[in-house]
Amino acid sequence: MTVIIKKYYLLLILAALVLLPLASPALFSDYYLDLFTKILIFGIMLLGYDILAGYTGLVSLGHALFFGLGGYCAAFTINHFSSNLAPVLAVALIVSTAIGLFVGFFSTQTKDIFFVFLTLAFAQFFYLAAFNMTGITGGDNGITIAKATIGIPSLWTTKIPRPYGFYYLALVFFVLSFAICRRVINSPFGKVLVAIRENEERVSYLGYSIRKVKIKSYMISVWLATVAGVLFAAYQDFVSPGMLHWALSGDLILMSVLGGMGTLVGPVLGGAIIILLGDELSSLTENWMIFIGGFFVLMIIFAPKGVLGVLSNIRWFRNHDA
Amino acid sequence: MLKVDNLCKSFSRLRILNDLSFAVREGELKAIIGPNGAGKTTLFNVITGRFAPDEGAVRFRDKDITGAKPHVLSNLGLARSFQINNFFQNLTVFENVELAVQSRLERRTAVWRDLPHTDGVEARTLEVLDLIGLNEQAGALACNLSYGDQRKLEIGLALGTGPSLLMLDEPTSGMSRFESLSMIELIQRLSERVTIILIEHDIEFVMKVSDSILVIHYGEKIAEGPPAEIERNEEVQRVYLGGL
Ligand SMILES: Nc1ncnc2c1ncn2[C@@H]1O[C@H](COP(=O)(O)OP(=O)(O)O)[C@@H](O)[C@H]1O
Ligand SMILES: [Mg+2]
Repeated sequence: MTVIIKKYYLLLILAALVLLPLASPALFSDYYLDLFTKILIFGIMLLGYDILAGYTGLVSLGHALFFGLGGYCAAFTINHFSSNLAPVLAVALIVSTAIGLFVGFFSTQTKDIFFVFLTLAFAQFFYLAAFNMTGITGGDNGITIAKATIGIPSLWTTKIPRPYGFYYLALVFFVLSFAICRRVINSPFGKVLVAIRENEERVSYLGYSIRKVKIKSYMISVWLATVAGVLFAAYQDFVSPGMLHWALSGDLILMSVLGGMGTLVGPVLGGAIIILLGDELSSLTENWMIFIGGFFVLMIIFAPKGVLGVLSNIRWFRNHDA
Repeated sequence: MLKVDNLCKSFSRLRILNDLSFAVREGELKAIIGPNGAGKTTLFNVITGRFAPDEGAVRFRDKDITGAKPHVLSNLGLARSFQINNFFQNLTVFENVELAVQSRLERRTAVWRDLPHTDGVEARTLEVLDLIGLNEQAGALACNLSYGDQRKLEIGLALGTGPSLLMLDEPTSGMSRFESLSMIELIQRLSERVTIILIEHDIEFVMKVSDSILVIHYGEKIAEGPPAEIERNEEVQRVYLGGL
């Protein structure tokens, strides 16, 4: 039995996620379904972020830029052009590809702390732009977005039903993203990413063009953050500069480190913990961030490999192929 | 095969390489000797693109490679090892060499393919491991190898790229007498199939294996020629072999 569970644990988790809504509202309220939808959407972004930060070793402090960009693209496309999610995603991905290549081109020329601050600087530029260009972005008030739809225009379309429709939509995108990221890390490309994280100089002495590989890795994380941003904005019917704020980029680092970087599963787990814990704590006290911060410090000291690292030290969990 | 002309390099006004010229013929084993701090490693660094030279030119197979980037040089068939171990400590021995072998594939950074079954990477990697005598440690983390085996892995990474010119920076440095015996044997075997530039402090070994020796002192060439000639050279004896 345990062997089966170990071997197929990813499928078991998937089955649990598919069946989860059935337990609502009997076991828990729709409110938790909402939290899980957010966990999945953040999970998409965290998967991409892990490719960049966890596997390639490039810690960006500006990734909210692409989450927010996805959000604003969704807002403009839905409100002025088409509410259908397919063209919305296409527009968002085209825009974020252009901006991602631009930011990535300059950022990957640097590394370590310089990479951290350059990505932050680019993101702050867009944050301030969104904040100040009130005529277009509504400034701090943000933009209310019409209801997004799915389907094939003129054949069959529907507003994405809530909460179940959005939950399953997020789940589909999450599973797709996970499959893509697994593929990436097991590919020749993925091996080079890890090598760059371990010893960049030697990788270039082996004949690889570091720059190209880094930009590719950056773009994967850009695309997934954009998809997450589109889904999040459409789900909330709302976008504001908060989606571009560096605090959100900081949360990504927090979640990744907490869960265990460079494992794909870890950061998603970290995201789930922070979102659920944050929700529980914030209903108890206003200063809930203090507790998250304290928890984080303890984890760094006692479990530097994150929650996933702790789990894999427990014998029962060992030998799986995460 | 490699031609170095009037190379100069300074660090904060201190001249480390001074007007250095030499050439390496196809198939030969060229040894570079000189006291500690003579500038041997710096010479390697300037040739292989770690630093750009201040003056001078480097040609590889009639192609100007002065100041070219490491990855460009690697793809031209020039590989080097490092005096201080410079591999992937947290990867296995197999994964280390695999990265080098994989680098020769056209689709070496493909996303939609698998390793190590791709295009004979696995077979080629095992071949290199066999050559450096580390096939039994293939699954071990590089950081857990004995120091002597780490020095072999350092060379394995360079070999994995299938170079036509192999530059080895003190491969026996820090090794015990016993460990360096197998290293010396490995270098002798390698010299039969690839052109080698070898920085080495074991004079006896150098005299035995090299076709030609370049002697550097304070970044300047003080002699160059076959071992027998170098042994007789008075200036070399004064500044370098004198202690023997
Ligand atoms: N990156 C560097 N910056 C400043 N000085 C350096 C650098 N690399 C080497 N040197 C200096 O150059 C001199 C020659 O060093 P090196 O080439 O390592 O000698 P060798 O390999 O012959 O022992 C030494 O005095 C060393 O301190
Ligand atoms: Mg040296």
